[in-house]
Amino acid sequence: MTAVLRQPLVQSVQQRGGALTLDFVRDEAEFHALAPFWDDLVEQTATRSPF
Amino acid sequence: MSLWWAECREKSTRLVIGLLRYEEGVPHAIAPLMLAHERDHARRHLTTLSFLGGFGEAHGERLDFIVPAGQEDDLTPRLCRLFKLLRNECDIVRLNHLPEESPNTPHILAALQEAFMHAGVLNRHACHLIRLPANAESYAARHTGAWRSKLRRRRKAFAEQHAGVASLAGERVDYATAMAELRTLHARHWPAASSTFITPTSWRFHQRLAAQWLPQGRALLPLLEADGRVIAAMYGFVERDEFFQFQMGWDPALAKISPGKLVMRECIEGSIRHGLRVHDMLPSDYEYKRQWCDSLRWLIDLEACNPASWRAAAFHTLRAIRRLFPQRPPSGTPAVNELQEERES
Repeated sequence: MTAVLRQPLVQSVQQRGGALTLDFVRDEAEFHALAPFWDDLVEQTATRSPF
Repeated sequence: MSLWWAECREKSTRLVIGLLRYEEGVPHAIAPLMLAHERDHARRHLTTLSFLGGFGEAHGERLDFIVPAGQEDDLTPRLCRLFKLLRNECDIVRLNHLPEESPNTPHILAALQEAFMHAGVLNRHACHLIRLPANAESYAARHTGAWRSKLRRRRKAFAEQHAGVASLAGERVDYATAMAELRTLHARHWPAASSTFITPTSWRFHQRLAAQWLPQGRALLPLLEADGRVIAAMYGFVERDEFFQFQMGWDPALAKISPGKLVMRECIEGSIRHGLRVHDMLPSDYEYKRQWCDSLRWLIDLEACNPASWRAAAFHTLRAIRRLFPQRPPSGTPAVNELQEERES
């Protein structure tokens, strides 16, 4: 799953047409593979967090 | 977060990270959650849905859903559908240290109230902070002449009587040594029994975190050296335009020159020099934080109970009964003034 993921796009849901699905990552390997997307999204949030 | 997961999780802890993705699989919003058991006596039998890193010795101090700014009203309610989907896997939800001002907060609270029972704000924690001006002089001008004069005298004594030098970890003292000095100085005031910072798990986590983040400038560790040895240290984190002051230590033998106050001054001036907007002292409401800071914001702990869980019902009922009776203050751990030099100097 995660091997084919691309960088997150800074677009609103309206711009993308709202085609979003909700699912869960429960597996450690998938969690680690999320890291680059995670970091990019953290940079876009309204609130700041120390760690 | 992966470092927290590697160093701090309990064996029974399970990941449940909610993702909103586009059709091609790109994550666009993240709910960083886990299912875990708190060590607290009354809660240890409850399976708790919490933020990843939301409790334990090295818990996060400001935790939130990860949603691009400006899109919270669109995305967060969709992400919050996970509460209904996960309801049968937990007894309670406990989301600690959520910034009250976060645009996600009202959506999270509304979703909990819809899917769970007794959903609400359990605790509010005051976080004192400084809205940083453009230069150190402007910050000093916010205080009285007596305050400035006292600090000036102590800084002069530090420099002239003790050959004092201020630096950042990595400049004169290597990162690992600086962290070890911080630990030693911190333990002079808060031994391992009263500080979660230097328990084995927490210390291992922070050593690894500092080794990664100090060289990158994501963590900062200002030091004061006097007479050739480190007498004060402050450890904190930089996240975009904000600094979070996390832990400190100072030598009580030099209380007369207030090394704690001097290192705080260095740290705040460092935040100003770095062009940061906010210097946040994180939760805990001490007098010295009020003296240094000019603003306040809040972190909240949200709690909710699974209506189908008899454990949650029993826990909630017993706690309600216990609160009907007067509480005894905890014994053996006297209240600590983080900057005890305030009384000693």
